[in-house]
Amino acid sequence: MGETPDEFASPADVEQAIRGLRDEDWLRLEKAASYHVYRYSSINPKEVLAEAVSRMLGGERRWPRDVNFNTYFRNVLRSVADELRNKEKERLGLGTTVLVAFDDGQDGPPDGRDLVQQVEHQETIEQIWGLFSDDEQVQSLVLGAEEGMTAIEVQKEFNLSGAEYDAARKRLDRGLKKHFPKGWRS
Amino acid sequence: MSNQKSPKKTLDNLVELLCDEAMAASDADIVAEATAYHGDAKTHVSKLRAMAEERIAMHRKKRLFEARQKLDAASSAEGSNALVNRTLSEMKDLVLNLLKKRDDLPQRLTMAARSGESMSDEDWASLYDDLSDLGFFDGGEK
Repeated sequence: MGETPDEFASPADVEQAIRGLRDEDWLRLEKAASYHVYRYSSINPKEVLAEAVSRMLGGERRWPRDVNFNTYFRNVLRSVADELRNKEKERLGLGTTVLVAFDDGQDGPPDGRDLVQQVEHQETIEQIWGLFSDDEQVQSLVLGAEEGMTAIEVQKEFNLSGAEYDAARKRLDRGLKKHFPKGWRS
Repeated sequence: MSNQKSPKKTLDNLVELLCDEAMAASDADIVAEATAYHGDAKTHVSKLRAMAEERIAMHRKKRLFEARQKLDAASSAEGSNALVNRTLSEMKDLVLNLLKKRDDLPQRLTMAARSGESMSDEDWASLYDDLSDLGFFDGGEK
């Protein structure tokens, strides 16, 4: 494998950083993991955390020294969750290929199962809109997500201060947790 | 209004936004949330730490095993067996000899070897290391 180039931390550094995480850091990372698999109740967030730890230690996902450790951990969680979700989709089996007349951001035409998922996703989004029908600031965030806008763009476009944006994001989080305690899909 | 875009992409973007929220949560908020959900946040985190420690131990053994393999390869390439590091076969022989000679070895470590269960090379190396750490090879075998 050769030596670890200077721009990446060594496995010993990763080990030290993992041991140095505070209780609150673990709780934040676990919460992020739970959101990454929110739509897949069969995947346990702890499984995502454990697999991420393994990949960081094993060097499959290396830690660039100029990146904050918690940010790096979160990025690894994202990629592990993506992989586990794809495996889960494969495990559930794919349906017959059906051509549809709209683009869902995929490389190829969606199959039957994808089509069902698209409908489910759309229904979920409609429910989210319904949940926050009287909260314009949260609606701005959902609209921003639909448009693929960054936090800064949302604040600019909808004239929200940083504090208002943060508060709206917190209400969105709490509202979703309350309405979908087991995730967006059961 | 919400029908124009990819629903999957929208939910993915919302997940990112909510992860931002999780990572930005204050210490007090995140602990309060965990306490409400798990009862005792400290006990819950201790389980996460234990999980991480297990993985750390696993990877340390793996790294040690790989390093030993490299050393073995290097020493056999140079035709030298003078290094303190044992080959896997030597380690296995030493452990088996020790098992025959002594009955005071920690049972939890040696149970698999005694019962004749199939053990991987990595298991043998790990058992050798554990026994070595406990000083069982200090009497001349090492």
